[in-house]
Amino acid sequence: MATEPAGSDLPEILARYPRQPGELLNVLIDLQAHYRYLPKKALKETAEYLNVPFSQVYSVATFYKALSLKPRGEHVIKVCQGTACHLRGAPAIIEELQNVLGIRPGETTSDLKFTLETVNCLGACALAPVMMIDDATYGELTASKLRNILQKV
Amino acid sequence: MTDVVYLNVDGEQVKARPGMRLLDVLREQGVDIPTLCDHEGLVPWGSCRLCMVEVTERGRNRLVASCLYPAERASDVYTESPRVRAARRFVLTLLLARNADVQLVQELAGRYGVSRLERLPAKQEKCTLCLRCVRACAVQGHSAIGTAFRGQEKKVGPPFDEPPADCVGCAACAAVCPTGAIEVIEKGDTRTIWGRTFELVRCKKCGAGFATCEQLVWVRKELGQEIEDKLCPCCRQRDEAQRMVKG
Repeated sequence: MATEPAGSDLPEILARYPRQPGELLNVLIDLQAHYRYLPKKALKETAEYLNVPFSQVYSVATFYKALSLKPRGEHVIKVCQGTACHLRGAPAIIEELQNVLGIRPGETTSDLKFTLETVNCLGACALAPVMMIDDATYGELTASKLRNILQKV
Repeated sequence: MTDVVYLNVDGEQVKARPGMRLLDVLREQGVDIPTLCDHEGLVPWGSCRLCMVEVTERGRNRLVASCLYPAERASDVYTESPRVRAARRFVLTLLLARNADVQLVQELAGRYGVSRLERLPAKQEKCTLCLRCVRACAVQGHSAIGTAFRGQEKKVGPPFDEPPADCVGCAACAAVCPTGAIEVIEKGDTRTIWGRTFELVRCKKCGAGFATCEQLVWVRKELGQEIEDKLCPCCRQRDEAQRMVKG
């Protein structure tokens, strides 16, 4: 996984898609997965390749939460702030994560290891308070469990 | 398809051509429908939600945006019913909170008896997000500006808030803006818009700065031919007329 700005692998990614404006979101999702963010240069070349105005590419890139203009961490932590999680101590979980990682929600650690995010419901209320790290779900969290989980990642 | 549709507008029978926009039908009748996002030169958008009217059609009643609604079959239209007024008042309450200083919004709010709602945070935005500018830029063939982000952070501008490479400085965006939210600074031989400065081309006759160099390059490319004499639209018309008289 590379985080350096768009290099020689960009043409290869673009070539996977037909040159149609409708492919814009597919390309952006692919670029996000590859670079962990959307470098400006890659957005410009995507606009050219798909024949979509740069302004529209930027519009879509900033619209979706799954896409980011700033580099995101290797692992994305999503802490649930839904009603059930909130009642069962999500605020304390978020505070503990902030202390351990030294970042606030929406931010990324300087070593690009973790990005901390809050979400409004993960749909696993029975496990409250719950969080996800990448594709894995962790439930019934406590502050002490957190450190263990983070060390294993 | 029939070539005429009968509508009942606030109790009066009105003839319309099928497919005609309800907003145009109503305006032809002299009904004053408030709008922000509608503009005769641009594609209908339906984003401001001020042109809402109540339509009863085939026994079904609903609120529709008249700028996007085609007159297709016999229906009853209510332009100032309590439901319509409530819908417009709701929109104006939000606009008044966002665009507290905009005169047009203040006037419309006054007309509908809307006052500031204290629990909504007051903002002094000039832009109402009607997107006339974005559509104007697109129809000119540039698409230099667009929207960015969404929800409360949504705004209009060039990508990355940087001077837009695709802009030719025509200022069509500023010309169609209903609230004067887009700043155009003309100083000497230059025009600055969206943080980019363009050189103005002066009319050979009257000396008015009527276009930017980039704009003329674009027009030349679109027409596929050279523009011989650099005249402003006003002097060009006069010039043409004189030639016709002489000829």
